[in-house]
Amino acid sequence: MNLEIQNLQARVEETEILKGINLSIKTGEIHAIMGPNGSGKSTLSNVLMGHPNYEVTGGEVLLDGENLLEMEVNDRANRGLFMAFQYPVEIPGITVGRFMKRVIEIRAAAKAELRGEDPEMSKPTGFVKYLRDTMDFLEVDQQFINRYLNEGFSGGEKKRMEVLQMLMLKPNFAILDETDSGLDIDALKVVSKGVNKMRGPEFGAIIITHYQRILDYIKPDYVHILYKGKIVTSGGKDLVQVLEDKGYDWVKAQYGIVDEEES
Amino acid sequence: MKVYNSTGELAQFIGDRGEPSWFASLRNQALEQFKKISWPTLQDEEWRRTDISSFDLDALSFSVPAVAQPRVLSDSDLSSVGYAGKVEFSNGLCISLGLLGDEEKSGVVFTTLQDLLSKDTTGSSKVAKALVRGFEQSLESADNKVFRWSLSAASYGALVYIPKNHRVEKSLRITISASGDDFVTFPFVGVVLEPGAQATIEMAWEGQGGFLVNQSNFFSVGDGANLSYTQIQKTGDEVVVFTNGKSQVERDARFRHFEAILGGGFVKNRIDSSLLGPGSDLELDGIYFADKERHIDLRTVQHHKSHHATSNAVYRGAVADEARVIYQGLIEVSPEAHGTDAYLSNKNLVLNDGAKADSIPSLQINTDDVRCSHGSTTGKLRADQVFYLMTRGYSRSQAQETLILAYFQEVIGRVHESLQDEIYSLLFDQISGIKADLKG
Repeated sequence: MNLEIQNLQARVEETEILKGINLSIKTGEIHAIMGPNGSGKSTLSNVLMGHPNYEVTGGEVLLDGENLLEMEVNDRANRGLFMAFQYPVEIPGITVGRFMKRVIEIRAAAKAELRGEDPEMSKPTGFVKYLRDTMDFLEVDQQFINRYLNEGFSGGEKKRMEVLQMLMLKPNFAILDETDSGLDIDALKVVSKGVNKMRGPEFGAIIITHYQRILDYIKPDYVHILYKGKIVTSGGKDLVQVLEDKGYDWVKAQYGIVDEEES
Repeated sequence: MKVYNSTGELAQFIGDRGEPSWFASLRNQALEQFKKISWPTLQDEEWRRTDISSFDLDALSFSVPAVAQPRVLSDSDLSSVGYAGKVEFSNGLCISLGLLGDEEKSGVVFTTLQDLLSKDTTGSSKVAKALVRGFEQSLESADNKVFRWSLSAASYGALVYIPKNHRVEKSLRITISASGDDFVTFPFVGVVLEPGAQATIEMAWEGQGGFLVNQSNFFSVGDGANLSYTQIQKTGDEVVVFTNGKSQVERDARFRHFEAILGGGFVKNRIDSSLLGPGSDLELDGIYFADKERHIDLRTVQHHKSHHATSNAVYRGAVADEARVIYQGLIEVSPEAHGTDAYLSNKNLVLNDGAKADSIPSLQINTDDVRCSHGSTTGKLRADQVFYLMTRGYSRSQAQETLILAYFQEVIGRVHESLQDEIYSLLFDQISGIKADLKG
């Protein structure tokens, strides 16, 4: 599958954040998007997923030729797009087990409908075992099945829960929005293990990050540097090391970026 | 069937019934009290948000159905549905009744008001005496005309009596239903637990039509006894419901009252509970949901009359469309009730701009050395939660429906286990009806 981002522009309230993003991603590829705070990383994730607070002001995004930006959030999800949140919400009253089961049922029904089959007939099987196995793989205690979703979870536990959902849903494209932020090294390794398990011809990912650290564990095929709402340069994984050695100031100098006056 | 056309015929109704004087005199007392005051208006604090002036209450007819023998439920009938006892009323008529043989042998009484009155002409049985006490105490707390009306006219209902130290393990189920238009019906539920007794009671109201229910309930929970009572309101949108409940909780006793108001078009309920002995423990919980132009006004009173008692009220509601919900909770602590521990919490979910929720918690504390607090919140569905679920594939309406159910989950968890599924599916039905109109 292809995800084509063409000259994408977006704003939050009156502030222009994305100023023309161009990016082409195929399944089978892992793209890293690196950038400092305020460069538009999270805006890009949220716009791709369809967050209502972000307004697209120009450009388009095509998922296998279809206009992604006109789809409802759940249609994007059911066509294979997934986002791992930087700050997953807590939802008291829904247990992890009940939530995961419902997510899988909804997905199975939606896929059946896309294939033109009766969604009522698409009951998933083997759910419980798969959930338990995946939890073991991500070193998540089985007790979490009976806890309310993300309620009282630590930052690391919330991020693992996001990766758990990704492994359960098996998306074609995953956007990981600063999934590494706030993680200790053990949690980072587990999260990376989850992403690496997904790697293959049917899976593509956009790893959005401020730091190079996660890219030591998930080797990207392409690296893009986002600065003030534009991708200023792209390259292979070597670019990670250049950025690590020289810092974001080097990016500014190299690409002639002038800081705007603080107002 | 004999029909009476207005409240003006209440005296005639009482006279016609030919009831034993020990009970007829109670009715007459209630009638005298009824005549003394006028209908509640918006000037009465408890009725300030519930306008009943559009109902012509005096002109409503009521009737007494011809007496018929109810179908008797056998032990195997009851076992198949998992109840210790079951009674069903339809338009004032008892249509089926049964209690497990073993419970009956143990001295449990599970019967109808009419049955008791026909058998106990002198009022000398324990049940009759308990009924008199309950009626008198209810009348004492009946500070409004609607409540007095229900006591003077209570024409059918269930009576439960559990003897000392006897525990009824399975639930007793009371179902009341009605259909038709332009009448008022007066059910009564009386429950007495002697010291050390235990029982679980379910009461469900069903039916459709433009009628009014004016119900009174009485609960007496003796020393160390344990009573769990749940009432489920599932009538149609045209039904008007008034319920006045009174409970007395003695030393070391535990009373749990849960109401699920998931039906009825216009509901004004009150449960007034007194903690009369140290160590008594009261739990008043409820959930409610109103859509369209429905109106639900619920009041709880946790009255601490003894020292070292505990009480808790947890009410949670949601409101949609043009509907209005009101919750009024009072914690009242008498001067002698030191060491009181009382809490009350109310949350409301307002699903769109036209809907309205009022939360009015209040404390009247007349002694020191108490722990009392209350909390109330009113909010909307959270857009970030809706978005999160949609990124996992939920449609907008599925996300909203899921979040509403999740919001109620914590309180539904407080209902007796045997009823959680029934209440959950009822709530689900209600929410499914309105979800398409919700705003994110």
